[in-house]
Amino acid sequence: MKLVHAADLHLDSPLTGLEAYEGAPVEAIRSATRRAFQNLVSLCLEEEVALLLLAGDIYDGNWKDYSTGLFFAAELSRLATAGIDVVMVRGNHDAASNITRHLSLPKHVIELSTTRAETRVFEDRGVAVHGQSFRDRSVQVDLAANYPAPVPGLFNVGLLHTSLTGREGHHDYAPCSLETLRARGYDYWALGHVHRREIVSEAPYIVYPGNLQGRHHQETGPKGATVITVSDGRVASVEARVLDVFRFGSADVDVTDAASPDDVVDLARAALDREVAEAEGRPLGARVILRGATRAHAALFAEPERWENQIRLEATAEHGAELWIERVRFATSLPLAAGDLEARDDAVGQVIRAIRASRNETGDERLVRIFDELKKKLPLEVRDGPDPILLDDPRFIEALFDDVERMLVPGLASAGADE
Amino acid sequence: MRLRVLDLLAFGPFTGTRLELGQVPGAVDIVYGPNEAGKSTALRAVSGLLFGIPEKTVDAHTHARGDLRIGGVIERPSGERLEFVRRKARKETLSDRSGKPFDDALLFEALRGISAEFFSAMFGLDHERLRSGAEAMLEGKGNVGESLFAAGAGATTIHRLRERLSREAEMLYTPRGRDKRLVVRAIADVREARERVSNASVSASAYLEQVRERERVLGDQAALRARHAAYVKEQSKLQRVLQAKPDVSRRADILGKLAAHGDVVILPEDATSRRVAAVRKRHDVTRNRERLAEDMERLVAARRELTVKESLIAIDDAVVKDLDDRRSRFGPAQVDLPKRRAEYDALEAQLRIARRAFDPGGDARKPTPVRLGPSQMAKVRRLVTDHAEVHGELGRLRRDLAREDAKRAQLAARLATSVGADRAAAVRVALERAAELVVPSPETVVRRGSEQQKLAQQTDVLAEAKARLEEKRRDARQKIDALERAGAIPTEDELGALRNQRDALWGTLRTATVPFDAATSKAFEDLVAAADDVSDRLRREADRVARLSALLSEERAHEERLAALGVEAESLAERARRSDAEWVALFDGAGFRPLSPEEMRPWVARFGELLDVDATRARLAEEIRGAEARRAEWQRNWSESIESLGVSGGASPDEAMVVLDGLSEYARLVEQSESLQRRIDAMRRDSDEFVNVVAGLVGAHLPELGAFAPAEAASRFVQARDAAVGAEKERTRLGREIDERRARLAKLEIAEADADDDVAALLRAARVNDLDELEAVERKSVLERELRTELGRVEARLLELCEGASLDDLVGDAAAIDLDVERNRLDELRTAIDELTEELQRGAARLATIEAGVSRLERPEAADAANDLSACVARLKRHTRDYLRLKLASALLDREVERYRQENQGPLVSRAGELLPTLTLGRYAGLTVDFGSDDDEAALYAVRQDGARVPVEGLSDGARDQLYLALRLASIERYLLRNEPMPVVLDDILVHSDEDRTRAALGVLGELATKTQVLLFTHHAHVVEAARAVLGPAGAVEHVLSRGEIQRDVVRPREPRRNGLDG
Repeated sequence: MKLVHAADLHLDSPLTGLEAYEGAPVEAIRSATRRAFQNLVSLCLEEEVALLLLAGDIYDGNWKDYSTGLFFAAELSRLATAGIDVVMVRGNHDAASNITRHLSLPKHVIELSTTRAETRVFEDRGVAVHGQSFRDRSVQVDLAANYPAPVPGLFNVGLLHTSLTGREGHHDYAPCSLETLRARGYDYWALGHVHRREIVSEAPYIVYPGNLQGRHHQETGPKGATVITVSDGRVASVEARVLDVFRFGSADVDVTDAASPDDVVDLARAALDREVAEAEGRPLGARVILRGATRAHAALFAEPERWENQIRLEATAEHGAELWIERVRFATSLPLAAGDLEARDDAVGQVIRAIRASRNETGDERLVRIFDELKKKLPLEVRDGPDPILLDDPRFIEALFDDVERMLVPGLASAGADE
Repeated sequence: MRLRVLDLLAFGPFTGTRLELGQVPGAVDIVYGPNEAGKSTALRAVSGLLFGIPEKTVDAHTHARGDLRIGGVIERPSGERLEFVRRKARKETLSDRSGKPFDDALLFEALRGISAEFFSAMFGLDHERLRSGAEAMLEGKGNVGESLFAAGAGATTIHRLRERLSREAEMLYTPRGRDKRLVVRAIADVREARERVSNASVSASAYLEQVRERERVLGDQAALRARHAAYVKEQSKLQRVLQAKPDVSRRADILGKLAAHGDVVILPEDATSRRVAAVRKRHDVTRNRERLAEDMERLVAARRELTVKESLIAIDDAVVKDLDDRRSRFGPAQVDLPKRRAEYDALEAQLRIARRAFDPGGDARKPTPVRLGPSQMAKVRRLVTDHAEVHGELGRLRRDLAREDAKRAQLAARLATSVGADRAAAVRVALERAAELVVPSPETVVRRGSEQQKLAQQTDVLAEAKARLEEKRRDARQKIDALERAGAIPTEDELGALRNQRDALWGTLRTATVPFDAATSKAFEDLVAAADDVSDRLRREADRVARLSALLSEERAHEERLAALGVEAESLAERARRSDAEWVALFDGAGFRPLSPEEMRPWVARFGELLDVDATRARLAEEIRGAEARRAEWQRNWSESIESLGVSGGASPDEAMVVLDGLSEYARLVEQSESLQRRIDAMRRDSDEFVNVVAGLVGAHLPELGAFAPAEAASRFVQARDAAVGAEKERTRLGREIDERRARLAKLEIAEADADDDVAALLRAARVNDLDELEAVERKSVLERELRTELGRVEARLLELCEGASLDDLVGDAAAIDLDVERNRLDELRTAIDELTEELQRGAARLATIEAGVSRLERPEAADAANDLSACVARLKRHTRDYLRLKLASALLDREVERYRQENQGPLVSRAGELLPTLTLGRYAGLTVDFGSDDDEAALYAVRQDGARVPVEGLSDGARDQLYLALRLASIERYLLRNEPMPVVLDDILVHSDEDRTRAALGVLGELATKTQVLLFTHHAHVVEAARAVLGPAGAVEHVLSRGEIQRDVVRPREPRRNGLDG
């Protein structure tokens, strides 16, 4: 008998950070989360599974488009004819969702109660599923503590949306400890909420399947669901199945040895080739991060836009619709110890010292006050998603100063060279 | 660090040229190179060595790009030296002297991390850069901060950098910009995209409302459709009944008529046509039978009238044919016979005349005396032809023989005379029997000739060799004689003889028992003395002895050779004799002694010809004998042949031919006359037979023709017989016709009976007795049938309208209705149905709209819009990030320029102010800083001696150069205060200065050289001169450069060594 465990579908959540440019594979991201979900349903049909377990966050909490719910229900109805039941709990996003409240689900789809933990028994398949949905978006109590006792003789699954004891990059909801989960005596804990796949424990199995489809450059690598094979009432195997239709990747390129921007482009292209290969034929959204103290630094920073375009151009030429360069991040430096420059008793040294000093400025002295006016005009969206612009965040300001230093130093060092 | 060695291993025009620098501490290194000498190259080499050779170098002309090499030694303040070689490449450009890789990092460390750009900006100054620095100051309108900052950073374009940053930032965003900058546009895009997401999003309630609306409309439609169906049903029933009404009436009418008819015999539909056909058939058959009977009677009458003469018919056709043939020949023969008789008489006359030609007295009717057969005639003719050939051949052969005889006589005469008179007689005799003569063949003669010739040649050669040898022997003899005449020459033989004498005597003496006397003693002594003397002389005159000996042996050799030659000559002579004898023997059979082979060669050839002539003669003689025999044979044949002609044997061929021709003609005429006689006889016999035949036939069959001539009788007889045969044929034909008509008549009688039966059957079927009654029954039957058919059609139509109900119900309904009322009801129904139909269509359209709306709501348009929004946000973030970075950089730079000014203005300006009077030769006293008219930023002013302040843009070009130089030197000095020294490289910065200013500047550079290494590259000899004058040997080291070479010298006043200068 097989079960499929998935979570964090975030249907119709957009793929972010992808700025359209000439040659970018715009079509490849269209309906990506939907297509990934279709892959999930097809997987259930192909594997002829007994149950599909959804551990919450079907929708984005603030997403209002009802067609998303209709699509979800329509896709699930494909499972009805095959006799595959679906058991799901609401996650924090679902609890906040307007769609959840109105959507009536097909009969073979069972949404567990929001008021108390309950058990659904599938005698014919020898499975009992325990779980509780989020009542509202911020559940701060340990839901697992009140989960029912296992049903003897059946394969017991706990369905739970939780951050456990806390996971980086994720809000803390329904906190609980591994001990609590283990103490329940279930055979398998199907968790949701954390977008990175993780097998937290193997005895019993406590698994985050990760989200179905990466949506920005921090959700990199293969995404999909987990197939559990149960044999004699025990877990025989737990395997990840890749279902995503668009892949996010990161080409972290060490360009220390590059003598010129052309070398940098070559190195970036080689790194991108590797990333594209890893995406196994899926379109890839890749961030290129150029690092290292390189002699090409000055030339790169003299025309960053030109070299970013050059990398995009070559990527498009080589991989076409398979590759979307999400962003090229220039994190190179001059091939010098920073201290050397700072120690220099000349104008260059002085500017670098000034940049460093300016970071720590406070109050009215702060140079970044010049951006106050702009800050008011920027829409809220810039504060969310990948690379948020957070002018009030000291870490953001620090990174900004780093960039300015990278940009200005070669400019200053080459100032006076015939242009 | 200091540059100690610049090694131009392969760079520009240089190959392995070394520049040793910094050898005198604190001295300026002046590298002097006139134009084309490679000064600029050397200058580029400094930068190339330290920072790498640029990708697009201009110095790869003498050496290939990949071969460019610059070596160098640099010295760090610690005294550590780095020695390395730079090559032109993209990677790993450094190596040590031995070619092993040299660690980049060591050099990088020694350069304290400064870049090529910084180095050239801070420590490399040429006139261009001095100028552009000054102009940058002008652009900045003397902005002291920027000027100082630029000087401090070694930058001429700090102004441009600030401008660039500011410009790029403003392209992205300006707080008060009226036009939409990129950031502002991106913000608008985000708002718009957000709006699109919102618009495309469908709320649950909106969707469900649509769904409910769809349900409601569906319900309404169902109700409408039910009503519509009921109306349509009623309408349909009404229409049916109304439609049935006329047929129902018609049905009642027909049923009434049928009832009135009562019982009627129903005949088949074709009853009338069958009756008509039967009656017509009966009529036709009867008429045909009557016509046929008449016809037959006519034929019988015709046959009866025919008469046929039977005896004529019995005569065989062949007999009649023969009679007719004879009759046709009889007429012409009667005409032809007299003509042939006349012809025969004419031939008889010709015969008589022909007979007379060769038999004058003969009777023409007697048999001819000679009867020659054709073969005999032919033989006589052939003999006549052969006559000429036989006689002609004999004459020709005899002439040929005579010619050959003459030819032989001539040849024999020449053969006899050509061997000389003495032999002529013998030869003539011999030739008489030429065929028997044994004479060698021409080949033998030639071979013998060449053999004898060769022997003669060999003899000559031998004689010549002998003469030469004798000459040599004589020569040797003369020389020997000369030697001997010059004094006796001792010989070994002589010595041997003396010694033998001496030894003999000594042997005697020794064995003597008696003492020997004085004479003997004397003799022995003399012998001893003589032998010794000879021996001495042999030794003394060894040369002469040797020559003599050589000559003697030579003479001996000659003599031996001569002897050998003599033997050889004798042998040759013997061979010649033998050859000669053999030659003569060859002619033994000829009967005469031959001349030499050479002389005999033509003779022998001619003799051959003579033999050929003899052979020809023999052949001709033989042929003549043959010809004579053939002539005799002809003569014999001829005599025999003409005998048979009756002509005397001596007659000539021509005479014989006349007789022969006459005989031929006569024979031909006899033949012709006999043939004609036979023909006349045959004609007469035919006529007689014809008359007999006619008489026989006529007498037997038609005696009445006996009165006619035979030809006429025969003709009539044949006609009578033809007529009898024709009558017989006609009689036969008529018999056949009558039989055929009789058969047809029998058939027609049967058909007549059948027709009567058909009519009778029809009458029986209609139960009537005659045809008139039958026609009446037929008319009633047709009427009844038509009514019943119509009733069927009417009821079929009504049944169609029943639609399941019974015919009686329908008939009942139709009977019951009121037409006007029902028509009104039908109109009402029609209107109601139309209205309902329209309403249903409106409902369907409404449903389609709702469905479209629902399916649109089900599409992921909001999700697509959300992706667009994300893309817009990404762009806005990028523009914003770029803006933040540029703007912050720009702001920082502005602030730092100002800050640097504040911090460095004092020391820098005061130091530059100190240098300026020196550099301007006191024209300007110093520098000061003040705020300009716009009070924005501080500006720099030069202070004249009189205290007047001159803004930067007010300075002359030269003064501005000096001011910038002062600032640059001041900033270098400041740099050196706190940093490791770097070599300052100056390239003809003094080009626009006059002599005095140059000297002043050199003084300042001399001072700088005490703090750091100063390299001054110059094209100008006057600069070198000035340096010598100002700095002296301790202050300047001169390196003179000429195309690829360098001379180093400490500058000496007035007397520079200028090796290699070729200007």
